[in-house]
Amino acid sequence: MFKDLDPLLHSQLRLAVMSLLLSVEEADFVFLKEQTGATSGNLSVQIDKLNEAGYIQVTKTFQGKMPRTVCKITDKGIGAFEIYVKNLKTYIK
Amino acid sequence: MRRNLNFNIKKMETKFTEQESLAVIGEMINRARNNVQKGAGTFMIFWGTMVAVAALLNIALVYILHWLSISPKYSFNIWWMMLPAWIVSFIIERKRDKSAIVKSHFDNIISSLWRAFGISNVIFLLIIFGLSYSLQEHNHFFYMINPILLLMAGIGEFVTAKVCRFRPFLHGAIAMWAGSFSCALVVMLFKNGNGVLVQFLILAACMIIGFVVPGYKLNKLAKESHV
Repeated sequence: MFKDLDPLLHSQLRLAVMSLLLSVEEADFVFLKEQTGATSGNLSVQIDKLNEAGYIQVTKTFQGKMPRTVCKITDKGIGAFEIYVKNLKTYIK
Repeated sequence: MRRNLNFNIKKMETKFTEQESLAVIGEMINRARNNVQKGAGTFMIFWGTMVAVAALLNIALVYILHWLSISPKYSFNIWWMMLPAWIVSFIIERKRDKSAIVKSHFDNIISSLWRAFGISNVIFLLIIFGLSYSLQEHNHFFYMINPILLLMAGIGEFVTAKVCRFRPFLHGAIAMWAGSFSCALVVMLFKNGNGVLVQFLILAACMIIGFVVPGYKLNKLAKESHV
């Protein structure tokens, strides 16, 4: 039986961000932009959506005079990702 | 050179298939895994250079002090330079941690491993000096220092090589273990007390091969991966 895929994760950029964050402890906005090749505006919007859903935790700090955004995946995010992959498998089989 | 993505991430809101979804996950996990922090090798270059310089200065001082008719045993005081070096290394690491754009689980494992190596070194040296002074037997204990420090460094390099999947560290581990064995061997070959000087030569060579060279290679790799 096919299960619905989480619409929040079934988007290329959001899924890319979640996959990156799952593999590291925490990552800066610059790193996510570098690795996904997305534009700053686009990435910022998707990060906000993931943050609002509680999938990631966003910390905004300053490094000297430069603002810095650090993202970290939450337990809820890990759970959602695991369910997404599990459901994805039913489509692939 | 940046690798080209085999999917167009800029069209993020467009529908994509389950296969593409899996491709995104695989590609991103692989990218995160292969990422190397900028300046990741600086710590190794710094320590490799410091220990190699101290070892070579120690040898030079033995001859200089002997020429000045001062007891060569004072040459060992050169190793006190490791204390300010430790402070500088702490500052370098802190600065790198603050400016790092990503912190991986592996970074944590490796920094914990080398921190444990540092602590073990201090405890080991305390044991050696404590025993040598309480038993009034210096030479035999001091001959143990270089082989055991290199042996422990070999463990650290081997684990780092496996975690980072970076081959030059494996060569470093082999160099450290070979150096450790050689340090023990020279004591048997040089019975006139010059064994410890040859040990310092081996130590300097091991530091260059096992720390400085892999450190430079790692920094080069980090530079390339962030272009």
